[in-house]
Amino acid sequence: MSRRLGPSPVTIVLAAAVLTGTLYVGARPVGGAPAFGPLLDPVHGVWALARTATPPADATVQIPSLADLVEVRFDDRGVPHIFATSLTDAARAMGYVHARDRLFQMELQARAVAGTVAELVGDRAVAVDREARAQGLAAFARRGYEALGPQSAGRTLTEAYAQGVNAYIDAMTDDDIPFEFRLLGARPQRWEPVYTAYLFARMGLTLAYSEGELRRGAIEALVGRDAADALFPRDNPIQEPIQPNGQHAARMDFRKVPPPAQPDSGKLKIAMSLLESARTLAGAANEAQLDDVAVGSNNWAVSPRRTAAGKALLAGDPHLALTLPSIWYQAQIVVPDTLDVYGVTIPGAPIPPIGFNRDVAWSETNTGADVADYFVETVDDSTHPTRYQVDGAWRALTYRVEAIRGKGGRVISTDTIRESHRGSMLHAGGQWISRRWTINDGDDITGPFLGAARSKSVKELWEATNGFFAPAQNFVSADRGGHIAIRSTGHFPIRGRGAVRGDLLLDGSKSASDWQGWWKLAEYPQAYDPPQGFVVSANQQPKDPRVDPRYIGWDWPSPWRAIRINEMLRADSAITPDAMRRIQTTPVSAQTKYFLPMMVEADATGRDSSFSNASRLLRDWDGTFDADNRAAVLYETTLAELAARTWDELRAGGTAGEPLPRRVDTPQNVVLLQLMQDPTNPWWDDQRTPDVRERRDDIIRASVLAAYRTLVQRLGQPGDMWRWGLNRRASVRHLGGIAALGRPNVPVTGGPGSVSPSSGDGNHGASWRMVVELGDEVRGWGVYPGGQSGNPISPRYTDLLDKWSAGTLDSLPFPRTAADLPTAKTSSRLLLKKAP
Amino acid sequence: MMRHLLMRTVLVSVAMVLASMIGWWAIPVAGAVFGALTYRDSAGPVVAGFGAIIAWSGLLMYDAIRGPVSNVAATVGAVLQTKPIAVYLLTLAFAGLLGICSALVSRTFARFFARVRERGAESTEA
Repeated sequence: MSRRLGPSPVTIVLAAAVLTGTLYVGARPVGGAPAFGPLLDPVHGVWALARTATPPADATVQIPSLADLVEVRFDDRGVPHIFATSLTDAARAMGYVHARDRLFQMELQARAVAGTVAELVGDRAVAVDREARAQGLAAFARRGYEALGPQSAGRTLTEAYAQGVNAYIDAMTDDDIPFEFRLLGARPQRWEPVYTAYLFARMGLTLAYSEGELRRGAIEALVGRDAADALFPRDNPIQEPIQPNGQHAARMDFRKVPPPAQPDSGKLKIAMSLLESARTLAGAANEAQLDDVAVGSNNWAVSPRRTAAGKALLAGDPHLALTLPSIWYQAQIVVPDTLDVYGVTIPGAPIPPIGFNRDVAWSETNTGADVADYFVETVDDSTHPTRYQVDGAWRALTYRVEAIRGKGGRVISTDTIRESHRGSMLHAGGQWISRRWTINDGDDITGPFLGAARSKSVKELWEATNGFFAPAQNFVSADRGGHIAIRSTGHFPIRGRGAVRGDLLLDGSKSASDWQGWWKLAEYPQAYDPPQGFVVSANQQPKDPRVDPRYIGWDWPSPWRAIRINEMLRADSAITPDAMRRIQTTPVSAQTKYFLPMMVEADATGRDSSFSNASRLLRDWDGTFDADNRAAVLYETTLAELAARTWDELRAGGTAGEPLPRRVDTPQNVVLLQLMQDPTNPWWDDQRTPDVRERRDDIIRASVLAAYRTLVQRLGQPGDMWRWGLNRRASVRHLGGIAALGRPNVPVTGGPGSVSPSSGDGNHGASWRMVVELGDEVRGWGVYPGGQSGNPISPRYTDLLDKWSAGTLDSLPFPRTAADLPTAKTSSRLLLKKAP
Repeated sequence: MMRHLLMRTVLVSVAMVLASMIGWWAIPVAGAVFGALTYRDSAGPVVAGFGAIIAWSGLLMYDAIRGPVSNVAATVGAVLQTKPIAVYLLTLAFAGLLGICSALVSRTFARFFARVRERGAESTEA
């Protein structure tokens, strides 16, 4: 009888349990793994991405808001060439193709500004959201957006763009849901026009956020104001400014560095507390990021009289965090008689910030001016203030209650953000500090970029970008008429009588500390067709202080890149587009010729065999950072050791259990070079040996030896393992932090101080390299580390990465009409039609 | 007998393909229906399991014709920190388990109700 019933009760119970378990892991995420059902389903799950990885060769879609037909031809690199009859239709098409290729990136970046990442990824993002809310970027961006006129480009184009994005989202099937959303078990949200403003605010945070005043405050408490001024000078000790100063070489303005004063422990405690709070906001609380990490952007233009073909040339080379998908997305937009531009767009915005049209090419680097000031406010209550005092009168603080939500919309936490008339406030060290920041003023960024894209000459481009607000950018440009120009464009504050220096904490109780207005356009650092025949920016100090001593900022990166580019351009009076490309990836660093001799000669006795081995390696080195070089790694490690040993007086704070407190900040190596001219300066003294007073050569020798021994221990005796290519790699991380979707260990050339610098964790680098020749027909070349598609399954996710790593550039097709793009160069076609 | 088994496997595979069009959760539903319908057949659950595996294998092959399925396996494998082959196996095992277990459980219920009906009929006759 029991046999007739089939399986035993145990088998049945087991089957029921297995079924329950399988259904559970099918429907619910378990541990870190996503729900298996919707993921592994071969029809609607992740496998469906194989079917959508390559777009159909020919497709037609209907968009309700479209006014007319738009044709989009994708070239053989997946770059869309959009042919529309109006700007708004072009913006709709741009939104549609951005959404198709980069939807997760767009949503994540918008959420990062809005502080709603936790709603997408869960509670682990609460800290990120809290930081974003405290920064208040979204609130300020929204205010700025709402203040725009209804006919402004910032309104009309972003609204049309949002319609394009939402047309894609609305028509999206389950098969189209991007990979990352599947892992998170989420669906994309609809796109609001204000999100474009969010993205520019985010860019502002990346480019213009600075807690420099707070760092400087801590340094001053540690070593005194005179020493702090010398270590973190307002004017760079080596002058090779953006606005040419008539020199034919960089100028060394070395001065004596005053000895460190005794620390002021009371001030230091407050300063460190403030600094830690600000760093938490910036997410930068680790020492690696505080070192003199060689990051930065470059751009330059060359006048026709210095080029081989007699045509103006322009190079753009913005350096940013390296991510997959890339921060950039290439596109051409054609609206007859209105716009014909090729460039890199930011997914989430309709107009390329960098690119070229039929007459002009342009690119930007970050000016890095001081556009954020911190004010110590006098408040009525030290823990729960409601008012703050200005010129003896009380003013009410405004409040913003921020509710941070997790998945499903439940509230995880609430924060109260206070604002003075200057901006959001930070509470730390018993003080209330408010921050005035140009980014918070919000403005139409789309308009100036559209104006640049439509300009027919460098002069017109200047005119179009006059209103560009923030973050201040060094716009380099060249036109077909043979003109070249550079201008640091953005709003530079005029500080009040009580705040001449923006690098110090300001007294918020006086209105005299407030900003009084903005620099006039004529005062911006600039050059138009300068006699030298070229213009260069590499984030260096924009104006020579001997030409204009007014305060514009102080935190200028080391000028090595600028020096090297200027050297190469001065040395070549027949420059070709390929020479421009080679400059972008030159493995030579301008700094080595200054540091290397002192490293080699630091031990006069020659008795130490390890030092002799190290010294021989360095002496025989040609100073290049190419992949096969075996001494570059020793040089870089020595430089890091040298900084650590020299700046040991700058260590403070830290937590229990650390062998040494952390360094508050690290002066740039130009300051180190300045110090090297003074062999007996007290800064050379090693704090760990109170009985001995070290001099320069003692520290250099110890640094070379320590570097050599560290490398021998880590890599063995000098040999293949010491090759630069094995020790210095770029790391292109996935934007959402999913390690498996990033590409670590990408070989690169370049090292500290080279034009394409590589240092730190390898996560920064050239985000887009572009060369443009402004001839009768404008020709462009470019590449970025990634690919057009944000779909990790797509062959176009990383198809440009190898070219970027090798330092080569793609020729960029620039057809006038859809029919001009050769069939062999066309990978697919998309027709966007107005919905009936 | 063999031919009969083969026919049923083909039929259940087709049913599983159609069920998959609705969603992954339709696989255990189809398995349960099949298990209940074939409760007298001891091989029913195995056929349901195999049917699900064959159905998803076919669908994967269809995906492979349309695009880079190996990229999907490699990417998902990297995210789950396993080899690409394991992603294929996991997918098929998931379908197979849903098919066989749901059929087994539903068959048990079906048999139970059948017996209840039989007993009811017997007592009515008595």
